[in-house]
Amino acid sequence: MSERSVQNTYNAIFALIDIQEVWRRTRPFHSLSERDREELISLLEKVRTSLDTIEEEML
Amino acid sequence: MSLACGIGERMVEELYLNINPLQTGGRTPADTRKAIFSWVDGYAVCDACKGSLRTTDKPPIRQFIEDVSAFLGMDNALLTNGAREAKEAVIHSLVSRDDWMVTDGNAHYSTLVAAERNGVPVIRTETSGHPTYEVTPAMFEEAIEEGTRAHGRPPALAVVTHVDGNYGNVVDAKAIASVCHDHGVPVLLNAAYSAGRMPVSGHELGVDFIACSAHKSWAIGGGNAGLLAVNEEYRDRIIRFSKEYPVKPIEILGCSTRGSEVVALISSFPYVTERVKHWDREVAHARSVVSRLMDAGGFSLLGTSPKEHDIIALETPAYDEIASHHKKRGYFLAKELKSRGIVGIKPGRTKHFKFSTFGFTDEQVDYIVESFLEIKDKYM
Repeated sequence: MSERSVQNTYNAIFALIDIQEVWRRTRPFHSLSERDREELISLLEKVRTSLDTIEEEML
Repeated sequence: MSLACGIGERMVEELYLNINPLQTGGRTPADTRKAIFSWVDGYAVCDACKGSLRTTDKPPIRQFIEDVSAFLGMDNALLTNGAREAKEAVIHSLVSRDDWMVTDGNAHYSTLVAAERNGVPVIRTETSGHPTYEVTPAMFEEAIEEGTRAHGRPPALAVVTHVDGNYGNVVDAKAIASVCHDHGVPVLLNAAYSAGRMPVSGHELGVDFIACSAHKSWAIGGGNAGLLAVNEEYRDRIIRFSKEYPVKPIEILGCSTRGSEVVALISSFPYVTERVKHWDREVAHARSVVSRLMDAGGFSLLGTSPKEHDIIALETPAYDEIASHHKKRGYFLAKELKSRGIVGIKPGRTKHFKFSTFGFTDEQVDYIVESFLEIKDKYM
């Protein structure tokens, strides 16, 4: 385990905070526009990539 | 997974339109929440301490103080724990127990308590009373003259509430400052509900001090932080340093807000400088809400008209009539609003209440108004 894992933990949390911002922006019904959906997909990918990196470091 | 000790996740800002006027201006952008997360541990901002919070370069607190002083049209600033601590610092520096000070009839309680802590008598101006509660320059003139006759000298300080938290009235701070200066009285502007939401320039308004609330109007979230901006004339009387510890400003006991809130303030600053440029949109939202509710009948505005601020106070006889025969009495309104995804009105209130549309989109503001009207129509 290394600084890379720690950095990716932060990356994942920051991407989740950006996802939280999507919920804030679209409250109270969270009816997502096409742009919101694209942003959400991109953010989820960032979270997954960061988690994958942490997992690789661990193994 | 849940928070420890049964605290529970809040999730209010994700699930609801929160119209509580105390909270709308302190809502955080994502970058600020990231900064808070990273710097939340105790004294984290002191990793590269040079002996004083205000001279710290990592994070860039020294630069921020320069930038924010310019943003407020002032010459220097102190980081404080809030607007009330900023006001107290000025009162403590300038006003002795033998003096007196003047403030307006809409002053926040903390202005009075700060004076009380320093043993300073206060004379408050009149207001125009119900329903506008306006404070005018003439009212300051009258209070200063009356107090001068009673005390044998003019007040040592005037504390002017730029925007009050009950009605959202914006005073003519420039004219009031001019009246005060004509009597030789320095002016402290309480900008807790203005600076950070709307453009405020100390030089343009002619005030000597500005007290700001970062958790109320600078989008920093829950940590307590504020600013005391000062002009050149009074800088050395306010930003005085300890003889024993020469890098430590006395009025903030050396270092004030020394946690993640100062990083939140720095990180929210670009967001705040941008949002004040769109203040006209916030005022337009408030005016649109008031106009539509007044047209519908059953509502009347408290405070001055037209609206110049996002805080909207209403008398609501329509809702009060509904509450008189509703099985949930006054609680029906908060319940109906919550079922529509809106929170922030004090539960049980139907005679009068206040709310804020600050920071919402056109669509969200429309939805809030439509919800108010729909609830009225449902029962009447």
